[in-house]
Amino acid sequence: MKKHFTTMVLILIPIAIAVNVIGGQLASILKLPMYLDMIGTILVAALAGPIPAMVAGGVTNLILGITSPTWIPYAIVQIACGAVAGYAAQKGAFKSFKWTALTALGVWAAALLTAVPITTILFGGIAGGGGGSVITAFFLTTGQGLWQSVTTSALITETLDKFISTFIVFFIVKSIPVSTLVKFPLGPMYAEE
Amino acid sequence: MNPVLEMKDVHFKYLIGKEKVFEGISFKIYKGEFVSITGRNGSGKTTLCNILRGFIPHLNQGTLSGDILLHGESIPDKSLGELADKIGYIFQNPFIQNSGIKETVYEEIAFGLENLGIPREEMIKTVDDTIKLLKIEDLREKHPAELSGGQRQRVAIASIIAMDPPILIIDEPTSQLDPKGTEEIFEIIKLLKEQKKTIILVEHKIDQVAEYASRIIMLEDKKILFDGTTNEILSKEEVMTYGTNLPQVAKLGIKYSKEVKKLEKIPTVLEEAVKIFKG
Amino acid sequence: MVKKRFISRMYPLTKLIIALTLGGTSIIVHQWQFGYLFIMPLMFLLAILDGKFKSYFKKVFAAIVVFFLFIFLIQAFLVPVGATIWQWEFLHLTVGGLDKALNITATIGVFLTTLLLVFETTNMSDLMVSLQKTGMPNGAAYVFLASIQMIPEMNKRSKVIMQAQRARGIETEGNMWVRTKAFFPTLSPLIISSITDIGDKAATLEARAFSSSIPNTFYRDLHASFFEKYITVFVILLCTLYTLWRYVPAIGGLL
Ligand SMILES: Nc1ncnc2c1ncn2[C@@H]1O[C@H](COP(=O)(O)OP(=O)(O)OP(=O)(O)O)[C@@H](O)[C@H]1O
Ligand SMILES: [Mg+2]
Repeated sequence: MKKHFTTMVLILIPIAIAVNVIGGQLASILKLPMYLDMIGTILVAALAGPIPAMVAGGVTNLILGITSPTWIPYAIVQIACGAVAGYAAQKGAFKSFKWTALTALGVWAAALLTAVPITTILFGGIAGGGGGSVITAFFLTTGQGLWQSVTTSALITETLDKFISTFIVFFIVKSIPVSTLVKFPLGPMYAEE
Repeated sequence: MNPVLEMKDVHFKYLIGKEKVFEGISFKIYKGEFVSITGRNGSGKTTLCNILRGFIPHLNQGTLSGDILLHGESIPDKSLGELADKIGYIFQNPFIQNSGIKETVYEEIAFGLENLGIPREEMIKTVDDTIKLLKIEDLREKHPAELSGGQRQRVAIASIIAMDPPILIIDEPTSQLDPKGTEEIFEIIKLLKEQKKTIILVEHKIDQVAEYASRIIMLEDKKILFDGTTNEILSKEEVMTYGTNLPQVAKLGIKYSKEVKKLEKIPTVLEEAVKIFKG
Repeated sequence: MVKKRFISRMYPLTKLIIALTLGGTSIIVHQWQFGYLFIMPLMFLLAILDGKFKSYFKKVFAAIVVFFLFIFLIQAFLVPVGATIWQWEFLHLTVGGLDKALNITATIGVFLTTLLLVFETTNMSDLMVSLQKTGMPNGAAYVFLASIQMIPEMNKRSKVIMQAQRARGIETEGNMWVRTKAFFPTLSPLIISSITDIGDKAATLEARAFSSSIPNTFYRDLHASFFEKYITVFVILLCTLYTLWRYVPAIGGLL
């Protein structure tokens, strides 16, 4: 446990959580058709690996849950995405553009596989955050089934979102000074070149 | 007498640094000494402080060799937690220097004591005493994130001295403060000196160094260039060629000694100068 | 200071455990009456007794209304199950659909109203202390509390950066691509500067004995009273009995 959660990582996690929350808020202020509420989680994945990333993701939704508890079950989505991104990061995925794209694909799949069942089973088709519900309702009126409607709606809202989030992290890692990077568990990997 | 802190032939290079920061540094510091570290920007003052506190190599890796000792025991071999109530550390930047989890200044000061497992009654007494000592009663119930730079720096010092470490390392505590803030910090440093703490201070404001420090260690080109009493070092004109200023009175003394009449001793603080020139 | 009423004074962990027990029970028993007729009114009553009704009601209202409307729309009208009770255009209200909508909203409602009451009446630092006393590591408490302070702080800074960018002519309105491009320069300097500060922040925490192996003590003086210790046991017992009554045929369950 100690090995994963160095003091550096423990301080990184709240920053990542704030980035998740602020990113989400900013996306809605700028009226973007994306959540952008996972940049922090993926960043922790890139710098510290899967376990801290899962914690950052999970706690993000617990904290959002203080004011609106319907966010809490979606912690699973953050945790799954953090795990995938963190595992990929450990293997060096954020060092290259190509592997970052594949990581984004993995994160996207993890998000769909977790978010769709939560929305459908737990919330009867309504996304806890509200976002895609209108789209879901629209597909339902065209005669599609509930699962199908929720999935189509999630495909629309998640795809661009996860790719942009993952690539933002790719560029941020490149902009962090090397002297700071090396203090994180996965940091030395990015300083090698 | 045994030294409190000691470095023996210390070499250090940062993990990503191209060159070494230190090539063979040695010194001993004794109980109750007030040592000022000087040297030009980038000469390694902060690095030296970090090595003495164990932040290097624990938080900041690199290639470190030589002995770094606290009462004869190796500092790098101790955990950071173990050193917390032995060597206090006050940083340059007041804005990152709070825990970020406490709701009042009072609790902020108690944070270190909570981590040290001090029983609650004793904790309350210590925090109350520290607040009184530093005259920050007005900040007591304020939120730590809503203070000015000077106030934050005083709270940061309070949080460290509440833990009562016998040794204090203070790295440019006033470089981001206005003159009033600076004065308030030095009043506290004076208190600490009166309490006979062992103090290591990095400070560019040379008048203050001249007034408080008993000894100066000057870094230059990866080594210690000068190590001596404050008066001895600050009366050398060549010090200025290594990026350390001299107090005005010392400059006057040096000029007077060269051009008018040789002085036995170059004054470095005002009172000394007055005494010398009165005859 | 205002004198705290009884819910606000209650031991934080006790409240949290009770809230989670009730939520869990509502999932298991799957009976909308439990939420709608018992727990939700009870929580409102407790909020009134605690003198917190106004702010509590606002929060519950904000969290529930649109959400519940959508669930009813989708579950009761758009996913037909069983006989139709009422019909208008493409909307069919069915017996099964209505039942499903009631059950889903009741469960969510129980979690929402209980948890919101806990958070409305509990100081987070107190909650963390009560959790640390039961063995939660300091690092976990740090992560929670630091996040809670960091979010508004970073929010402020992001607004400042956005203002500065507008002043420098970076567009924050316009088509989607323009708006997406505004996102990156607002967030990334914030992230990078925060990350660069972590090294010094870590040293700050270490200077305060953060990773000391000595067991923590706490300035906040919290103790669970005799009543607070046993009320949790009592609630868990009642919920277990209710679940048994619901599912064990011998005592009239599953009718
Ligand atoms: N984390 C780091 N990684 C790599 N190199 C570093 C790091 N920190 C400092 N350095 C380098 O080490 C040298 C000594 O830096 P240090 O900060 O100790 O100097 P300083 O005397 O405190 O300077 P200042 O007067 O500016 O505070 C400098 O050349 C600096 O660039
Ligand atoms: Mg320095």
